[in-house]
Amino acid sequence: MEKVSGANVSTARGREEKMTETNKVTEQVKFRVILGYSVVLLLSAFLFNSPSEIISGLVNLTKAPSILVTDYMVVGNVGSAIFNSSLLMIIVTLIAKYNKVDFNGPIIAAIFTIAGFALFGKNMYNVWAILLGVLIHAKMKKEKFSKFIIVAFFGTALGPLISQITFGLDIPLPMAIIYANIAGLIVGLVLPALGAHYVKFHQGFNLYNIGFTAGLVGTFFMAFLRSFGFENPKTLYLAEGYNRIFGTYLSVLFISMLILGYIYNNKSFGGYTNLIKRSGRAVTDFVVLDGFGLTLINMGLLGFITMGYILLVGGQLNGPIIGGIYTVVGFGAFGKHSKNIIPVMIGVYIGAYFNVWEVNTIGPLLAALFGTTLAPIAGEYGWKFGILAGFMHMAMVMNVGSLHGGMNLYNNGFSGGIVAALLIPAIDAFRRKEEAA
Amino acid sequence: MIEERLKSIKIVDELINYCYKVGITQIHVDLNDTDTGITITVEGNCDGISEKDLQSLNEFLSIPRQEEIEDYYWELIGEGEKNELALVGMVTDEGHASYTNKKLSITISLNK
Repeated sequence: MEKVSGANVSTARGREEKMTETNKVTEQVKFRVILGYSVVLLLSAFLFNSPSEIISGLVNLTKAPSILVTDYMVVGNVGSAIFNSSLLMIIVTLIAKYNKVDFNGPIIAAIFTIAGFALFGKNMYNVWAILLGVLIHAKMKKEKFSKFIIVAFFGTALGPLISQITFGLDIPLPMAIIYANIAGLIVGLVLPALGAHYVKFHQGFNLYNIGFTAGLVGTFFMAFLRSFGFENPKTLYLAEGYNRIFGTYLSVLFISMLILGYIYNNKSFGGYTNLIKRSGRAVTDFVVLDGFGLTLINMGLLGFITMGYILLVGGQLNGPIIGGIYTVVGFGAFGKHSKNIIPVMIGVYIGAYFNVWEVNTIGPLLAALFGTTLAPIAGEYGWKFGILAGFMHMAMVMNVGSLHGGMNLYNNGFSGGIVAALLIPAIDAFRRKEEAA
Repeated sequence: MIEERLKSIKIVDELINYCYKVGITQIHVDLNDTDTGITITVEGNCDGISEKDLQSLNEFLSIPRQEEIEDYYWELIGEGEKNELALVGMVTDEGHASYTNKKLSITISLNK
């Protein structure tokens, strides 16, 4: 590497120049692309069900307690689940636009995560109190809502807390609605402070930081409910038999991302090797660092990798699994890439293979998808540690769900935070010792 | 106001960490806190810094400020040995690094 010694060098570039280099795609274009995907997905709901079936399905899924694992394709129907998902996607995209937030990595990740989880837990009833709680937090601090919008969007992970209290605890409905939404408001009020603080716990190596935070908050609420004699039932609704149709559906989606990405990346796939050199640790915003085009290419690739894994191990494409795929695709804008997710997925596979679980059942499949929350460990420390993280995650994630009674949808983020907090200080300590030797 | 000062402490930590990594052992920090903003300059002598590293540093520091990132992730700045220069760029308004006569100088400013 060429060293510059003693010469007068100043390669500083102003912000304007930098912006033109990585943000060739304007905010308006990014907004239109994201909104365009939401609208197309919304319209695709009508390929599966008639408008009346979709409306009745929406009513059913909105009234579901929605704790893990509730596939809206079963409690509603396929069309209503897709409609619910894309409608929420449209709403949060418009909220982001209204608040003048740049459509960069974290926002794109949040929008796709909401779309994914709206296939199995988030709906038009259970997200609002949490969003309102964060808005009140912002007003109390005399700050703009946009400063907390990431927490607000991801914070909807605790939507099932609202649905479960409303519809699952046999409390008279008017009182249940009040209790549930008060709980949601409290969640929204405290999450911004907790989320910013807990990110240090795992040093940004758990990408689903709000998953970890919501896990702790959900654990408190579950303990509170249990102290009054309430208990959440074990829930498992899963659709089956849609692999061919969803395989085609998702392939079209991911191919379109590759094509759009190719176009916005100056009709090239160039630069991808630089993108996968990044560790992915928070905060790695691929839109800012590598451009919108490359980010879309990365998102499309991650879509194929994750869908390929599910089909390869004999899993089923249904609401929760597609939700997991959407989430990984979204985080293709914010920390995940082909090089850092694969070791973690292999680790989860090995864990499930040697443990008591079948690799193609819902728990290990979701662990393989959402376990990629630990992808930055592979990115920073190498593939061996990525596999180790995945292996540890597989065991951990199957044990933490009962703490929050399935009310934290980002259960893998909760587990990932614990695994990262166990692993990172240990790796760092041995590394320091090696360097000192 | 308090939060801006806490951020500036973290930023100083991060920049000192960077200086150590490029071999600077005598580091000078200048922090100027005014009504309108905080300016931090960290500088020191080192034998050499590659053009690529200097360019990369400037790219990170010139990332536009992102409010939505700032309040959520700023506590990661200056934590441990990990590089968070991109995050420094995301929480500051201006950033600039230069290498002149064997002296590396990094200046950032944060509007209030």
